[in-house]
Amino acid sequence: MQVVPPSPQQTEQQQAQSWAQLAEKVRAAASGDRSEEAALCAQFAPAVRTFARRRLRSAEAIEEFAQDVLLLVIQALRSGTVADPARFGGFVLGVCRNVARERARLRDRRDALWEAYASGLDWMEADAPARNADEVALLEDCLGQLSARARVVVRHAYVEGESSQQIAARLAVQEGHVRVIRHRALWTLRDCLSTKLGAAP
Amino acid sequence: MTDRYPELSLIDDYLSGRMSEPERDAFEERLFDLEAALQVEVAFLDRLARFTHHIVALGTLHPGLTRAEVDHLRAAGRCVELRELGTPGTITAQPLAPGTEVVVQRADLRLFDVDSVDLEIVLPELGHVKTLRELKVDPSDGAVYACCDATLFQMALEQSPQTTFRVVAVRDGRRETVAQYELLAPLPA
Repeated sequence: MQVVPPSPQQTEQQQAQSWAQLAEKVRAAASGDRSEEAALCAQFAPAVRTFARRRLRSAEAIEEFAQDVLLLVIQALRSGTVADPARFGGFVLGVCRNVARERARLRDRRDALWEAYASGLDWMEADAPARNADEVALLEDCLGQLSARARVVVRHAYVEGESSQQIAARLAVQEGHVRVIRHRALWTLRDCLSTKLGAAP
Repeated sequence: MTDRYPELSLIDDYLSGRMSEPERDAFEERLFDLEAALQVEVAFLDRLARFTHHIVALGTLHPGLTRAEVDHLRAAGRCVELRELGTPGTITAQPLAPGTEVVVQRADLRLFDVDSVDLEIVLPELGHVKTLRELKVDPSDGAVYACCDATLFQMALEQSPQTTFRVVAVRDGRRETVAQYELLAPLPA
């Protein structure tokens, strides 16, 4: 888990550099470099899932949404239809917004997309919790150090996808209080995992 | 409240529905931009959500269960190894059976006056290293069923040849050690 933060602010120069690097990667992927294609998908997958998590609740629906988006991204890369490689992030966001609007229609195309591009998602398997048993164990250890109430809030917020308002109603507390618990729990888990993974070989 | 991780808090405000529509749209533009500080936190929270889902499914979100919850996990097909710790004192851990997913260690402490206990973990070379908080006490038998996934149990045994577990109850506002176990790692075969 990459939890060590970079320097606080990226300079404009760094930003331009990262866009130039991104454009290189997109061109390489478009010209058939499958490892660059997988790396690009893996780089954007957390943002795609975060976008989905805002709109969907179940883990299965979020994962399916991410797969749908990434299959379309792979299709676009392979067919050379990414117009501006340096703005690839904006392209992926556009795909996310289209998929969010047209999920029902996309469902009909899903089988064909899977048939053609599923192998482009093989990297997802390596990122699954079952393949990261040590990290899961460390997270469980960190969760155990939260209060019981904070653990409940983490579950309802990030696993069940409930809003602070819904969690507040469930726990009979003020919504603002839930927000405080959520943020403090995140910071504690972030510190705890940074320490553990920093110490890990 | 000082915001130690402002990007993390921002992502959480996005996920929890606190942002207005224009704020949400603007945030989504940033989400797909390659802003390093934000990307790190997005990746962190994404893994946190997915891995916590896995932990919830395994049944080990809380470090303490009741007997009924242990039975429920077994009925749901989880491979649970239930171990009796016996009288507080020194115990040599036995290796886990192959295929074990969840380890539950039952401490029969007959605690009928508290709802939960803390478990303080002490290593001889490091001293107090952490406290697992608010493990339920089963009201039906007064026992503590401390649970964790098998990987974590194995990691703990490999970390140190000896681990001290102090069971701490809060009574009348005071923390009180009610039992102490010395867990020794199994001897190499």
